[in-house]
Amino acid sequence: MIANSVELRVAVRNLRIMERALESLRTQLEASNPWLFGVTSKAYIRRIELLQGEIADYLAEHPSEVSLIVPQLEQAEAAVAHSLDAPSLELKT
Amino acid sequence: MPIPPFREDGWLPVGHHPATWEEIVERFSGAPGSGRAVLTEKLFALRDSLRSCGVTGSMLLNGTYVSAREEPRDFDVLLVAPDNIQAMKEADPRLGVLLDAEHAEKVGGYSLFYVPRSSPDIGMVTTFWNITSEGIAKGSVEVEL
Repeated sequence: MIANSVELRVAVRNLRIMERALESLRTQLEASNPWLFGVTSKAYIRRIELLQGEIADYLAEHPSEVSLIVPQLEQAEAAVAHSLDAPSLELKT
Repeated sequence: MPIPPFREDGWLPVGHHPATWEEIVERFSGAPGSGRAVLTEKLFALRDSLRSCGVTGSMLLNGTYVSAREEPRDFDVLLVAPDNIQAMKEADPRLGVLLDAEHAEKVGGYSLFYVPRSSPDIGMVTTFWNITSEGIAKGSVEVEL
């Protein structure tokens, strides 16, 4: 549950990351490994749905704060796009 | 390098901190019978099941489990594993169940995310866990399967 505008901004940021992560997984797996994409995408979809629900619930209670996240949506898009262009910080494997 | 001490706010310092399974037990397993102990059993059961299916790679651990909280709620796992994991499923159908998000949440009590090792977006995906839902920057624990 989102408690304040700071958490709202974090939730919107996280929603964007999950959406981009799902899209990345789709690009990499949907055609080549459809079973794997079907199974592993569920975690991302469930988290996206959770975040969407939390954001909707919060904004229903605080409608004036919609204006806080519209610019953030654009910034988040730009930030994620930038991270896609930057060298990836790969985990040690 | 061992897992660094918790900060005063109970989270690990920012970064992905490599750890061994022994260090995870030492730092996070809690007292026998505690909620921590239960989560640790679930984490090790997941590890053992993945290993038995032939999965290799690494796990990035997140959630209150890797904090100083005495009674953590849960943990998130980002599994960075080979792209040929689908072939492993053909050899062992249990892998399909293990990777199923609904099964992980309902039976395991954790969330399991997978990203192929060759993905160019691993860095972007891991940023999801770099801050708490309250907006506090924090660290994660990385362990080899």
